[in-house]
Amino acid sequence: MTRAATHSDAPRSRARLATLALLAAALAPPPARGQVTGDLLLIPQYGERVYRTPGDLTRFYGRLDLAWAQDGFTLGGRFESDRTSDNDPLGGRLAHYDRLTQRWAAWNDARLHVRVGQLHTILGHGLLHRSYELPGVVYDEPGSQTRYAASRDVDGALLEWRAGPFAWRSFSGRFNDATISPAAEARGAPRYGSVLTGGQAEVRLPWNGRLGATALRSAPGGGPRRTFASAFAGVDALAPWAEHGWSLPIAVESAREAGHLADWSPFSGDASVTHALYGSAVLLWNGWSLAAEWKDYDRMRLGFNDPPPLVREHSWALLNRNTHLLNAESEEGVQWELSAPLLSWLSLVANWSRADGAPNAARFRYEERFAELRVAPPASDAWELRAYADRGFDTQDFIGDRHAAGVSLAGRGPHGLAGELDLERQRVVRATAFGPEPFEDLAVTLGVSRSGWGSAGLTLTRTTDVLDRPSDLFGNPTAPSATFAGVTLAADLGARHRAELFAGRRRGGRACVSGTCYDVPSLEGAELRWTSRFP
Amino acid sequence: MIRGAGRARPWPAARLARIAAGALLVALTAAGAGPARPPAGGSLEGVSIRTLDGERFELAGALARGPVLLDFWATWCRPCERSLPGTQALHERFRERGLTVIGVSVDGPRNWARVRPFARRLGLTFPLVLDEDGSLSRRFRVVGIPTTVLIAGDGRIVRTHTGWVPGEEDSLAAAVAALLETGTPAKP
Repeated sequence: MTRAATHSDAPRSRARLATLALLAAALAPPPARGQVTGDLLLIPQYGERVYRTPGDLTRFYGRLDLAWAQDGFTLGGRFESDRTSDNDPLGGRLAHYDRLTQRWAAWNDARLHVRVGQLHTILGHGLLHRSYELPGVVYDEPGSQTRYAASRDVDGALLEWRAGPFAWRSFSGRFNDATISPAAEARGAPRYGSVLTGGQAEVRLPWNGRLGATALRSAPGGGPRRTFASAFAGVDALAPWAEHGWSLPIAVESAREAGHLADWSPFSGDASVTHALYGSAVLLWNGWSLAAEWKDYDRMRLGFNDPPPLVREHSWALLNRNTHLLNAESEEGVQWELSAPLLSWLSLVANWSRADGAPNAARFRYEERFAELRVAPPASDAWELRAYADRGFDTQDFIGDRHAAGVSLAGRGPHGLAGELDLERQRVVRATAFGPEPFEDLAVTLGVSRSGWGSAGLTLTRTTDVLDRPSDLFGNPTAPSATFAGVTLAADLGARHRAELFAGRRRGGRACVSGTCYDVPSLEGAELRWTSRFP
Repeated sequence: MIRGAGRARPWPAARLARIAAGALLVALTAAGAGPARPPAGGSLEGVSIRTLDGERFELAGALARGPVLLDFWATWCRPCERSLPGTQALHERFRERGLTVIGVSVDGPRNWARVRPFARRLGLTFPLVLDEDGSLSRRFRVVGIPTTVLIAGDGRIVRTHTGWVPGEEDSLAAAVAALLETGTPAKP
């Protein structure tokens, strides 16, 4: 028996006991006025990453969330498990785990919220700290090939209090940046590292205003303590004219590392101090709006913060996978967005984003121009046509030039039937050390659905990108293009269960959800995603 | 070493099937326990969040007036964009009968500045809140968007639905109407 296997036995037994306890809690008759709730997510998968052989890998990820609530008190936990048929000591068996990955207790009343255990919170606009979970997202770590919940959390205590216009939030605990899987933790790698202690005080003001300050101290294991502070403010500058359809919400936050007393001034002009500045102003008049945002981040890639990146998050498939990744170590820029209901049947959204940075003395620039038109009959949802054009570049990602365009047509038929067709095309020039490397992507998505039954979708992507084409042992492409085609079936099974089945070839790459981007590995095979909730 | 070479033991298919079957059994058993659950109103007492207009929304206060419909959405979610007009229609149709509709934006800081323009463009007039720290999503166990949560006046969560296809607003409207008529949800 290997040493790793010996070490994993005890935690596995504990995990099984914890699981049994949680299941028993779920199945036991609930105490008076209490309620047990649970959510189950199962993802069995058969197949392999594209171009890997043999393609008979079997994987299974399972997650169970249970909570018990009575009056204002809630007790909860999460159990996760991941399995693969790969016995490779590097990428296979070491990825296995069965663990209780979250446990917490919380208490609420009208003024007070206390939580102990895993928690998520935010300070200001996230310049100094934001912990969060991406609902339903499961990270699939490329290196260890292990999957786990996309939860960036703090294991500690949180206290929130409010009275009238005043609010207070403070927390302390160890931070998990969701880069270490529970499988690695089971083998001694700590998921939770730096100790964070932070707080925020806020007061609400007239004209939908808010004024507040935050402070955060981090204590990395073995490293020096760092202290940060920020001040934030917001107001609707046109609040008195709200009845006439006008609004101008303005928000700003300035954060600095506060190593000395003089640095605590959030408006200190000393550029040598680690700092971040975020501002936004949105002018609205009825359905029209013009939004402007600014950012200036310098050495603010702290690992436990999440400053606004000022990059449009697209719902179009090809654009979403090309989202610029913020580099808060050094990045400043702007974003403008116009939303215009030009006619009763025609609306326009136009966005312009630009950022410059120089981390490690290597300069980069990102720029993107996007416009989308929507055509639909007034006061009807019978059909809808959308079209977009996008052009940009991102030297941080070695993208020298990128043109993209797409169109989407959605319509409804009788008996709850509906359909949607998306067509997208993208031409990209990647700048490499060997010169420009052009490639093209074409994506087609066809979906049909019937209310109460479910939906079926066909996704087809063809690319000439050398990174996605088959290649020989020396990395030379062996085909001029690669095609990825897959079918997805989805249906609700009763009121509490939902099943989604994918079969075919899925292209890997970047995916962005709720402002966070992560890598999705390719797949050639089938994957079922089953969710249940009770009650 | 070739990665695939290590796949020697044939345990996964059978074992995974057992694990899946066991987990499903647990879920189905628990789900089949029936809807006669005690009200969860107590655990909702502390739900209080600031709307985009600066007003504080107290869930308990809203429930005293009647059912509450929470619609979780985001600006980057196309199904949300296509479902929200249906939610607006529910707001207009049932507002006078006591239904409170709340739109919960789960946009992160990346998209906060776009929430108001998005809502204005769609003509949404029901109150909107930002789930800044994800507390509402956690409390109502949101695992994807769009998600609608229909809460009866006594605090029971009578319907939670994730995802959207055209026409589903009709079943939601039927559930709301049944809840307003009889105090119980329509069967799915």
